[in-house]
Amino acid sequence: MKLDELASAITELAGPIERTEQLHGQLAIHVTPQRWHEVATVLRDHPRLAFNVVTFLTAVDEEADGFEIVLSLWSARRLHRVFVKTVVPRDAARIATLSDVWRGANWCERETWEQFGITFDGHPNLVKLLLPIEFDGFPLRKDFPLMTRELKDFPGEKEPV
Amino acid sequence: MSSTETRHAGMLPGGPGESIQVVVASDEEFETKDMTLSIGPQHPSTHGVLRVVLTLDGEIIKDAIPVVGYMHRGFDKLAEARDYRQIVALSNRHDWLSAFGNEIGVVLAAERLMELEVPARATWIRMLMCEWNRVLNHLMFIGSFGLELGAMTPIFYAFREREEIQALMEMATGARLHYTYCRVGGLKEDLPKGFIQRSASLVKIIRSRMADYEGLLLGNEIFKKRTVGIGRLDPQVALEYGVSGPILQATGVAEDARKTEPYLFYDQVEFDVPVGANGDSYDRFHVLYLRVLESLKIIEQIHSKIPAGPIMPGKMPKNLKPPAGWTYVRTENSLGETGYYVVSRGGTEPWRFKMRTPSFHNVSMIPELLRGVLLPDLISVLGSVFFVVGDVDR
Repeated sequence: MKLDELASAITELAGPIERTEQLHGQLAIHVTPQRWHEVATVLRDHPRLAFNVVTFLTAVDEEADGFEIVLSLWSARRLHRVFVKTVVPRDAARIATLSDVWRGANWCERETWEQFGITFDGHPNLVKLLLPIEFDGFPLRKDFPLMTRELKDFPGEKEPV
Repeated sequence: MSSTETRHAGMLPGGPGESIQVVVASDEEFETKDMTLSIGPQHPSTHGVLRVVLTLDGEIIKDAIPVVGYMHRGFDKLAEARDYRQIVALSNRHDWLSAFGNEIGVVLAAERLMELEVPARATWIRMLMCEWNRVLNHLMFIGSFGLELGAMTPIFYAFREREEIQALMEMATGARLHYTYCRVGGLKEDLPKGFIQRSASLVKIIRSRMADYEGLLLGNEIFKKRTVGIGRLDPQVALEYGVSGPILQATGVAEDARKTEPYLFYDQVEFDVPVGANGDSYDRFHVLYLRVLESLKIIEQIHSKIPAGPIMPGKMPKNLKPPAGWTYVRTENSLGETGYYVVSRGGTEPWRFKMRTPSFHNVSMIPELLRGVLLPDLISVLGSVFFVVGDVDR
């Protein structure tokens, strides 16, 4: 399926979505956080879409705009890919879990939770995955300092000669 | 209710034929307790520090929880504070067995964001290195899996071959483990004189020696007894967990980025994606073995296809500033799908640099594989989910 066809198929089947975006030959759909779980279920279940693989799930810190949650889906049956994106506000960073839609989302959500502090409602086991349990703070947030850069300026900032 | 019966116990004190009384307890009276057993973090079958907490009912594994993170170093955060060219050096360290396969994705992502044209010669050489790296990686696992099951010989053979491949790659890149041979736009240096000839003769040597492994392991009765039918993985479960690479292919799904989403010039070479039938430990190992043969096939085709020409585009800017945007680059690394999701805001450093590694997703599936398996089969199952802990923890 071509990207345009896939985009129109998703808009047709998944109900109202905010917008679609195409960049460098890849398709992203933006949905509201309220429809996150619902859209995911349609993407998995509809035979024309059949997204059965969670490639990854992560977030991007957009500072004042909140956190953009990015889900990458791949259909091993139809051989197409889509990125599902949504934005949650900084002060209320929570969204429904997808670990009941794809079991593979479980670890991805645990990682996103510990790194960004985004809560996944309904997650069966939301505990730290990679970080030590006593670790304080959410390292991938932009306001979390990287100590080596605090102590010494980034050498790449200098203009090369 | 308990009952008392008289049984004949051949070897027990009292001598043959003499009866002893045995008290047989009913299920309600004879309570069993689950036992929690922690394997690792230092265990030879895990190639690094992975801990698995097992819940055992006798010898049967009821549940298994992988505990990861002992080698987490925050790759994503470190990448956000670096130039795209520096990330290349950063990225080939977490999976120390397929360094080149890791760095290729980084430069492909930067090049796609910058819409940079890479010279054909550089792309072919990159492919050649990717495939040699794959052989290097798979030989390590072929050897070590045998070792874990008690066969000492294959690992010595594997390291004999690995040594020669490392010498070959050192010839071009100057490094034995962490190559840092890719540059955004092309390569660090052109191939040295005589590289292709040496590479071609090495393909022949490795291919002839692959038969040894077939005799030592694949056709070995003990090896088969310990792997056939052990740790069966269902293809649907595998897909749901995002499992990729040889583990997925062993379940019968012919999913390979080189075929399904071709990058570099993989659409211009001929090769097959080997698949298994049962998804058990034996199939996983067999697929790994067949992948080596396919890689050798690709390498031979590349030798005759490398054109003359430059290895870097004419003029490169002093500062790499990819325009604002995002992209996801998927590559078929040795152990599965390695991908980079990059968000640029137009600066010299990426805004977000998410690394998707195959081992992370493959290890998250391990509980499904271990449930119901006997404890002595743990090694056979864990060893055949080929993973590198650095690749899990990043």
